[in-house]
Amino acid sequence: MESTLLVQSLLLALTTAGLYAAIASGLTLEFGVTGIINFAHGEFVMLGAFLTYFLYEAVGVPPLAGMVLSGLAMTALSWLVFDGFLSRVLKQDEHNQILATIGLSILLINLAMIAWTPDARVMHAPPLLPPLQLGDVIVPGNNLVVLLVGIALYAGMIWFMRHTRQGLLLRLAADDPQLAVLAGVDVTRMFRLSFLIGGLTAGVSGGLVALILYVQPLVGVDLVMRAFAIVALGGLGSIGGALIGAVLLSAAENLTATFVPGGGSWGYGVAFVIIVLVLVVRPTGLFGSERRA
Amino acid sequence: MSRFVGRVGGASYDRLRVLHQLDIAVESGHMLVILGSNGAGKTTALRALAGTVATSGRHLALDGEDLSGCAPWQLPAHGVVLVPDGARCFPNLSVEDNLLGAHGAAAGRRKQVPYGRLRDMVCGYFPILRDRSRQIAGTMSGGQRQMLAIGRALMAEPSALILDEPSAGLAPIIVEELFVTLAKIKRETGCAIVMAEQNVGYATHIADHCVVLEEGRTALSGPMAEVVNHEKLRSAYLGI
Repeated sequence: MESTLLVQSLLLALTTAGLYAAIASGLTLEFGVTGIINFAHGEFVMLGAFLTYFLYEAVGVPPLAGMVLSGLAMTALSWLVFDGFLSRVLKQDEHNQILATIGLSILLINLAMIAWTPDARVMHAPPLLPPLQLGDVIVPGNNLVVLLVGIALYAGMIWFMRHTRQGLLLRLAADDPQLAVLAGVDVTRMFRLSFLIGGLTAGVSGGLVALILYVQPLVGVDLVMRAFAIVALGGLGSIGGALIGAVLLSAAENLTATFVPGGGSWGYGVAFVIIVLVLVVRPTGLFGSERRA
Repeated sequence: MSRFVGRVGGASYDRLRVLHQLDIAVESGHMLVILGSNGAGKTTALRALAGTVATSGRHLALDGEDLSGCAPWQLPAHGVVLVPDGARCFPNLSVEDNLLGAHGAAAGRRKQVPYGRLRDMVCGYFPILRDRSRQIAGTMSGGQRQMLAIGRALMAEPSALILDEPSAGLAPIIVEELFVTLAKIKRETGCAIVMAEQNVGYATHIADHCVVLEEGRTALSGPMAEVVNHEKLRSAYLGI
């Protein structure tokens, strides 16, 4: 019984890890390339969740299609936000950048509350896949979808960075923006591209959120805090570290919720414990190394 | 036969004017060396040419095509590449990705030579880059990184190559090797080279023309042989 519970808990953790990895890798890509920590990243996820929800509930668009549309919509919104707003604080100091993205985050949350009330909603779509039964353990179909799509997003991002010309140019801009300019890279375009990719993955991740979580204006805050913990674990700016960080955080969170008495409300706190521990013990992250400047 | 012409003037850091004016003109297959002591304005002049330092005036032309309006990042695609000082590389990328990235970044309106052929040419000049192709650039020695920096610039098939103190911080034997290779690159690729140097001795052997900068002004310019043979100038400006 105990071991069934353990396996069940770990399997569920694995599925949410897919979602977390997708969100965290977008965040870490944006930071790695532009140096901006995008505190509003979670709100793009939240907006993607609402969009997928409304597309299904009001118009009847199937959730998978809604996810894709949410991704495209958040790409477009990222473009607007970057060109209209973030590109103007790029050359300013970090405090201004942090305030700018926190301000954007608060603005988007409040607009969502005004438009849709703070109430939590559930998307009543039938599960996209049948549940997976492994002995006594059952993994709900939607969790499988979250795992598959999350991993696909994450793997797609890694593939893009490693195997396309634009991905290579992004890596040049991330490594040394001034030198990248001298090599012929339009660095501003690369900064924008990193936010477009971040927006795309955030929007699709929002669709995943609508599948397994309540849709409400603060859902992005919870998720982005976890993403920060994951990024701290995996190493800031390291997309490769994001997956391992996501699995570790998700497992720690689920195990706490399952096995610690009253742990359901402690699960989220685990993220913060991890952030603090990493910052104290190994500030470069478990798998990050001191980057050569 | 291509010809690279540049004129920059009026570069200041805060109120300190470090560059008054510099005029250069180099034919393809020739090298112009900009000599001057520390703080004479060499680095500023080269950065001003590339456009990464603001100046009151900047004129740039290659083969009669006016490139003055180009943003710094557009220059490599037009055949003008600056190799900055300090043997700078993309430190967390492999040698291969440094070269591949430079090739990809310089893609522009020109028809590019395929990556493999350019890399083979670069590795012909600097064989160490082939042996170390998978090594992370930041872990290499200063000399190797300088070779990578120049190799990276060659991936853009430059018609004008601008080098900022490539010998700085390198052991004499490496400098000698590097300059022999630079002379070969000049001869074989036919690109025009502009090089800032403090290392007067080696530079005089491979340069064709010389400009001496002093406190941001051109103190002397002319064919290298003339400057070297001019006893008074030698002692006054070159210290040899």
